[in-house]
Amino acid sequence: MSLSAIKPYLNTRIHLFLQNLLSSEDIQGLVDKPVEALFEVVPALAGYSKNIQQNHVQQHLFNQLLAHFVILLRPLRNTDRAFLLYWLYKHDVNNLKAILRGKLGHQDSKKTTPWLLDLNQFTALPVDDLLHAESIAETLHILEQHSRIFANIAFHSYAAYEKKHQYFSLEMTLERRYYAGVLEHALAVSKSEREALVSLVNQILSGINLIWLLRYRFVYQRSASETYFLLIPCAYQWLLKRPWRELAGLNSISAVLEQLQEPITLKDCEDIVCIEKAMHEKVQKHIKHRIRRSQSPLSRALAYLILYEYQMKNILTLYKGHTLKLSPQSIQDALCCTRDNTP
Amino acid sequence: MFRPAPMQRVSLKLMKKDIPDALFVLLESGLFNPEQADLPTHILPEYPAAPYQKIYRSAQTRFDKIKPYLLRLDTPTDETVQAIQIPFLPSLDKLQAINQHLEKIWRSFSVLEEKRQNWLETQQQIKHLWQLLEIFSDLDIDLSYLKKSGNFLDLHVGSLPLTDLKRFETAVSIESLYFMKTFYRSKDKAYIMLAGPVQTDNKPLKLLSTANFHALELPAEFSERPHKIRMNLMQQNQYQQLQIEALEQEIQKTAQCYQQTLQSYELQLCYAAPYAGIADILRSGAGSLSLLEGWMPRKAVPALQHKLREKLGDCFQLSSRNPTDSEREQVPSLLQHPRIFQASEALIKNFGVPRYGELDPTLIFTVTFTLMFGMMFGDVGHGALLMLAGFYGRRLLKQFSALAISIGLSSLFFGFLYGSVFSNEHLLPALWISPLSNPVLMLVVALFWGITFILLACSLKIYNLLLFKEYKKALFDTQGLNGMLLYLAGINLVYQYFQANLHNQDVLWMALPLSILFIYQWLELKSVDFTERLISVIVESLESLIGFFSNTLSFMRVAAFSLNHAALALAVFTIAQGMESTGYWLAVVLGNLFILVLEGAVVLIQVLRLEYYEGFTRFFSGQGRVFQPLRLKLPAP
Repeated sequence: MSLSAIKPYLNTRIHLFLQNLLSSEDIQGLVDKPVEALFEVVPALAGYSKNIQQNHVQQHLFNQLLAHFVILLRPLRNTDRAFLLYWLYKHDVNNLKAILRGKLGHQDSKKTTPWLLDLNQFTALPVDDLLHAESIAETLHILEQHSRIFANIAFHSYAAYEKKHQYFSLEMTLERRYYAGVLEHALAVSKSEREALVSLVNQILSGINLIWLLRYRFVYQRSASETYFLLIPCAYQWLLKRPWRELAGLNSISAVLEQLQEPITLKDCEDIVCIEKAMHEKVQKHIKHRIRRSQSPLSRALAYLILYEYQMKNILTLYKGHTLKLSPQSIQDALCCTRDNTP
Repeated sequence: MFRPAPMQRVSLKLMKKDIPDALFVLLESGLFNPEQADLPTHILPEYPAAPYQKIYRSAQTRFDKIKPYLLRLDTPTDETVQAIQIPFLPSLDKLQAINQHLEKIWRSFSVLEEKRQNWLETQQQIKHLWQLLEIFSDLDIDLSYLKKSGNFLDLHVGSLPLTDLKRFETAVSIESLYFMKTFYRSKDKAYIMLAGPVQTDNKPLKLLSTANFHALELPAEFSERPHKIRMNLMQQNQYQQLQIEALEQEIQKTAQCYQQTLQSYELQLCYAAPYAGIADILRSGAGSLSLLEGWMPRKAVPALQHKLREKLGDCFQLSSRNPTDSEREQVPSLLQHPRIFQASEALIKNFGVPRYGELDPTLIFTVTFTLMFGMMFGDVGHGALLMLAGFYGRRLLKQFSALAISIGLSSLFFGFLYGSVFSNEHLLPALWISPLSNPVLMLVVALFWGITFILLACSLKIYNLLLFKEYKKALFDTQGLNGMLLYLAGINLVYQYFQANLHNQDVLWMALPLSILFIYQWLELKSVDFTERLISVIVESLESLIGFFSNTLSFMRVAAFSLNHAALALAVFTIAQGMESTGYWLAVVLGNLFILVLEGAVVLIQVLRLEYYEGFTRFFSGQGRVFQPLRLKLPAP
């Protein structure tokens, strides 16, 4: 496909996909309705009964994401294609975390398998080999030897785990290295796409970074220098008035929140859970804005994938809430969606 | 020529004291393959050479360990052997003395060697220190300061991943009282020095472990400035080098000192080897009688008798007999051919050794191999080059030089028939046909060649089966006469079908051997139940038919490669003609070289495959035993 054809192709595809996304109002509306309503409203679950298991719901939703991903990936070449593929590996990271948690709890691989998302040919993990490993160390060694994508991540994660034997350090390193890789891949895309994409990626990562900063500094009581070192090396300007190194030195959550850029204010939030939910809403809102305004098809494709992932998360929350018979208020609190009606 | 040499079982009864003389005669003949005597254990229960074998093995092991230290151990010439005047077989006491002396020599070598290894290890350590010092080369300070943290100073020296360096630097800058210096960068690591005041909460230490910082342990030698340490290391290295050289000289001297003795020992061990080798075979009783049995070519037995008589007088008894039918599987096969067949023999042995009495395929292999190669690779120029390579490269190719000459000759002959010289088909008129001008004829010729080859293989199989008295198989089996008839009837059926002249009698001719095969296989499978028996018989009969069919088609490759050769030649000249004069000749030469090397190798492999798979598997079991005579192996030059 020629370069001139890629843009209209992706724009048309994304426009059509967006029609099928549920609006925030639709999601909110499902909180009070029985679980059957989910199967009527969500296209990916159409035809399935409410007795379906949670992991199957997740896989069905993911299969649709994967189908859309394939369509969006098709016209992309070289580094643009590599970026979008790398973004999908986020689900590999989640799978890897599930496998590692299984190893930590000495869980049988048969119990772990149902909770892994099937990425089909897009997986960069030697899943079977990893499942058959007998310890966390062996899992990471196998990953280092057999996965080109995750070799470096596995090496550093093992080094972190070997030093402290804390699962927390391992997961932290895994995620930080992965997200640093996202930024590296974004910086390598074609010139026409780079500026818009890097800006979007920085916005997404700075949202994640802020939550990590608050957690490390005020929940896990890490030192300022240690907290700074553990953050993703992304830009701060969209979210904050001062750079990350200065924020890491602040001594209270409120002092950090005071450094947020206008109009982003989270002064009503008192705890990190609330801040996280609010950040998700802000990021979603911003992505929706991007998807309407951006001229870069690659950043629009990424924005669509992130929105779908948010929807997937919300639907799973609704499904879990209904099956566990939680109160509508509890389900509402667990959702991460804006009050904005437009998809 | 067509069968392994006829063998006889030889039994030699003699006095113990005459064993060395008898052994000398047996070694001289070079045609005696020792074999366990077929006697109950209570008759002649002793193995007189067993103690000798034990000492020999110990001495040989010691000698093998010492041998690498010898500067030069000349092969003893006949004159030297005579000059040394060693008795042919060293006595047990002599061998024991040699063994003890070898132990002493080895001990003196091993002491020196141990010292040398120690110095080499120390040198290796210096090398590691040298590499480590390279890391600190930019730090012009007394490195002993880096080893102590002290009461007030929190000091860390070590490495972290290079990718994290920038981030780590920023993180350290948050800790305002800390100072950091990067003093070395390798491919993936940064070496840093971090210093600050000792604090109660140990903050920087937490950062260090989070950042995957590896502390560097400085060795005791690093107690001065780097350039001084470097000088010290250089001096140490020079001293060690001198020590190693001195030791090597000492080893050399020791080797020179023992060289002559060891030469003599090596020769004596060579003489001792055959007697030690027959220790498990040579038997004797409580008295002085000994027995040695083995296999020998029938022709060589009278000469042996004569030589033994000359050497031992009448104090021995040599009896010989032909192998019995039950022994046939154990008789070793001695293939005796002129030198030019040695390459073929090696290629046949690569597949297996013919069983004793079985047909020796060397001659048939050589003829068919040469013919097929020529047909597939017919070119006057290439053939001539192969012949020249075989002739001038005879030192390198050894026994394969004759094969190279013969396939070259065959290629040359077919080259004249095809009219091809160095891939050019216009220089010479084709005496028969240019392959590309009539590919169908080439395929038909290859097909007929294949049929002839398979029929020949079947005939040889029948011969081998009759020889081993497997009459039923020879008559009714797939590889037997019935199989051959089935194959001929099949060929006739296909031929008549394509001629549109198929009659019922043709089908009947085919059905008859097939039915016989079916009944034969049915009767052979008595122990299995009905259904399995039926399925096995149907499948095996079908497999035989398919086997014949596919094996015949396999010979199409003979024509395919002759066409391939001509097509490649055409391609070379098409490329060459598109170039200027220099380019033309360059393309022609390189193209021909390509054809000669690559296609030549492929054709060789294909011919070998046809021989092994379509030929040998039909008539040649390859399960025979190699004839291994007693031989005196003198030291290699």
